[in-house]
Amino acid sequence: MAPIVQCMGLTKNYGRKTALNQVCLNLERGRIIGLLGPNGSGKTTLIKIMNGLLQPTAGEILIGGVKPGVETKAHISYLPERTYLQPHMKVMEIVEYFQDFYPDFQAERAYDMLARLQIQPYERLKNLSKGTKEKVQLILVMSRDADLYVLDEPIAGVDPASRDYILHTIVANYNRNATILLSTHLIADVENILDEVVFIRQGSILLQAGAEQIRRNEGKSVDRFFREVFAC
Amino acid sequence: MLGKLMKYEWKASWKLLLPANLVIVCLSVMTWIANDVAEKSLFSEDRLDGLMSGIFILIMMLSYALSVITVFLGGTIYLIYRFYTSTYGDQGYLLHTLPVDKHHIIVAKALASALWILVMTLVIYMSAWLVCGGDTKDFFSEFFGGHWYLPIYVVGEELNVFTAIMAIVTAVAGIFAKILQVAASASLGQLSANHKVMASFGFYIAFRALRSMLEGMISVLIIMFADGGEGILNGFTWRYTWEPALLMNLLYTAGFYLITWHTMEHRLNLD
Repeated sequence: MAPIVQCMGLTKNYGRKTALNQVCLNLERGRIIGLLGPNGSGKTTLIKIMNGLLQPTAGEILIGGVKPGVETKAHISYLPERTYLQPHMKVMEIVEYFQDFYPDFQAERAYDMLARLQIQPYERLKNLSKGTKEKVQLILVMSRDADLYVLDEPIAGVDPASRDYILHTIVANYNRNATILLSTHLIADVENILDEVVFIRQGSILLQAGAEQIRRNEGKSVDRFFREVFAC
Repeated sequence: MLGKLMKYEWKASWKLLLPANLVIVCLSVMTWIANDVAEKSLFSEDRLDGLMSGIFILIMMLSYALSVITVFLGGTIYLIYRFYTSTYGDQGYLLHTLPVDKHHIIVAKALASALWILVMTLVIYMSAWLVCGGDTKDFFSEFFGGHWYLPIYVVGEELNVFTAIMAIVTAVAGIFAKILQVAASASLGQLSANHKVMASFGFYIAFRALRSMLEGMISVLIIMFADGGEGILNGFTWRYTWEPALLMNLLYTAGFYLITWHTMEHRLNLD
């Protein structure tokens, strides 16, 4: 079976600025992978290209052996780094929206998670706090039985207590045969759940290795290793 | 999926546009009643009373006209704003990651917008008819009988069913052409690295200028060659025939649709 993500010489330029530079990367199925890098390293650009929101300047990307399109979107569950839901909608209407468009969406799972977080289904999104909106988005994304979960900075804007809940939600709810690609620069918070890490700097892949392999070979945590590699 | 997209387009717009149309209906009924009452004393022997009634009617008509223009412009601007934010704003992140064909997205948005513009136009036309002294007792026979053909009289065409149908089809095609012109402008504008809204507005102006030039050239050709070259002597211009207008609107619709689809499918730039 083909890797879930294959990047071949992927390049993205914004005018004269190069956001991704000849990226070659394979992500295997059934892994939790951390896409780690400082701000502006190209993490979000890579994720957007995977989701068809940006077009590469050169190179090619395949999701499950297919170019990004209608077919791949049915298999990717994407959490962007911003709020993409219509503020006037009620939480239950958003659940219905996801149910209408994604055949793999599990509404019962979504309502169960909402109840645990005491988020009322009839509440309008505009009346929720920023952190609660992010939780609603994460619940929607994790309520799908996708093959690839792409989570862009899922814990960046929330308090430490909520981070634990979010990470627990991710680990407890994802499809075991699926891959989770988790982009963040808050390594210490996610390190324990990662199987594999990809370091990215200035649009180039610096390292792709197992989290345990780094700890064993380097004799330090991934977070400590990351700080050394990306030290200013 | 088209049906589902239409459902959510409708859900997102009716809460603002339905009350806006109801405002027009209420205003026209109020203006009609007020004018009816004021008209009775307009020609009374008391000059002051007549003058005051005249001023009152004038103010009512002016506020009615201003309100209708505001509602129509506001509704149109809202439709454009909604198109942009839901397609190329933050909400575009959800729209473009749905497993949905881009053709369905464009068709759903164009149909929903066209439907609202048609509803607003019809409501304004009916309300203007009422305010201008339409008789409510014979509303349907008068409205669908005589007034329906009014625009055709205005442009001087011979009155028959064919011209009426052509007029309606041309108007509907014109609405789609305008909507897709906005969509194409926004689609090209989002390609810009900065100032995407300004760039979209610039593309709209450019398309408008291009259309004016093209229509001007076609007008000249028709005047020169219509009626075996006698058209210019007969005062025959392209505006007096529906066919070129319909053809142009269909071509614009197809052209703007292709630009929008190509940009969404191959050049999407949600950076």
